[in-house]
Amino acid sequence: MMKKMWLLIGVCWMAGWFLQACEEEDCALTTVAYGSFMFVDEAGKQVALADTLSVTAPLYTSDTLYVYEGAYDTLTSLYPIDTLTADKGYHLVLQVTREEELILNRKTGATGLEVPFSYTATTDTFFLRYSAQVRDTLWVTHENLPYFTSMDCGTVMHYKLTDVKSTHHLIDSVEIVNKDVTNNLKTNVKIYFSVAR
Amino acid sequence: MSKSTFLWLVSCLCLFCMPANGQEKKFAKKETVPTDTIPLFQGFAVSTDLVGPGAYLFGSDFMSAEVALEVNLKNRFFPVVEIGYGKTDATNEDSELHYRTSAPYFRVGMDYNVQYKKRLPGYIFAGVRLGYTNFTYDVEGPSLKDPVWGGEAPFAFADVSGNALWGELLAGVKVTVCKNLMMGWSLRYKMRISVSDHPNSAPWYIPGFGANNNTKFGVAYNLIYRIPWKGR
Repeated sequence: MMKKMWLLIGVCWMAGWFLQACEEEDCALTTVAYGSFMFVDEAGKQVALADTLSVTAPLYTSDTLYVYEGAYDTLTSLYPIDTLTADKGYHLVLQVTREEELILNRKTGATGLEVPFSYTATTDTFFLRYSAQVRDTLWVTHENLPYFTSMDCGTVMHYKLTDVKSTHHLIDSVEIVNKDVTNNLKTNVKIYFSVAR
Repeated sequence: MSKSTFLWLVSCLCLFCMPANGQEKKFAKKETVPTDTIPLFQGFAVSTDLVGPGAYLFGSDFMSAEVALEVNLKNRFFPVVEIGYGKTDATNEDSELHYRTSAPYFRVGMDYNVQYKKRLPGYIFAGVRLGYTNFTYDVEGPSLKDPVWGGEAPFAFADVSGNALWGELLAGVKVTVCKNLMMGWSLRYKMRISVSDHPNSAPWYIPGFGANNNTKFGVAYNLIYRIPWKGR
């Protein structure tokens, strides 16, 4: 009987050692959480855009150029003009973001989008260009949630969507279907297009 | 590595503490006990686990110390309460993340002597446990640098509260070493039932459970003292 007990003790020890060695952690493949947008028609069915689609986003670190026109001259500034200058009759004629991040370049048959959000800003802007003449703008408002996964897998930025708005050139409406943006790539927002493109 | 080294050492310790061969032969007779005549209450025993503190001494990030009180009912059922304290204060050199927590934990359950019909110097047992802990933890690390938009977000959260409930299935062996002293191994399969989540973190270490995985295995090496009781 004691031999059997010794055998059991040995097996327990070996099993414990082996099984603990097997407990390795599976980290997510990506440490960036992307917002996932699905393109749908009026009926809510996923559609592919016939047009090419390019998506850009103005970078917050880039410079914005403001051009103001007055009665006698034109002012160009990296900052909005103050009230005193505005009272002299200057008005904004051009506001150009000088640098944009290219997220999607002339993709055909796009059925959706995956876009990164800012770690520090709470509203991100995306320009959807279907052709040279038509452009929709998408504004996504979110809470930023720095998230600790584990000591080995590290940290990642998660988000909670609070609002999504858009212009309505080709977009009919937008709807948040899953407000939690994590690295599991579930659809967060449905973009309803007014016509099947 | 350090934990397995420790396990090896305690198994050697077990080797030296086991009964001598002569004593083994004395117990080797498979004497069947008439179970109907065994009184219900067979006494108390207290025990402690050596793997938790030992592994910590040998370099593990986790430390747990626990004591257990069990009741022997008919030498067959052993209801048990385990109370322990788990802590970690770890820094990952690669990620520079620092995680700190310490809290008590509790388990209740029962062991079942599968050899209760035989009079032996020890027995093989199977058991179940239900564990619970309520804890707070601090986690901090380098700021998150935004690879696309630029800028960075600080990362430090203190006194994040959490709780966890889990179940355990265990099997092992206990052997009498001296008159009232026993030693035993058990292998524990731990299943997480619920763990509170926080918008900014998931607990990395759960006192009494260990690293926060859905399931995990654990090993316990127990020193058990049977409280002398004249009725046994």
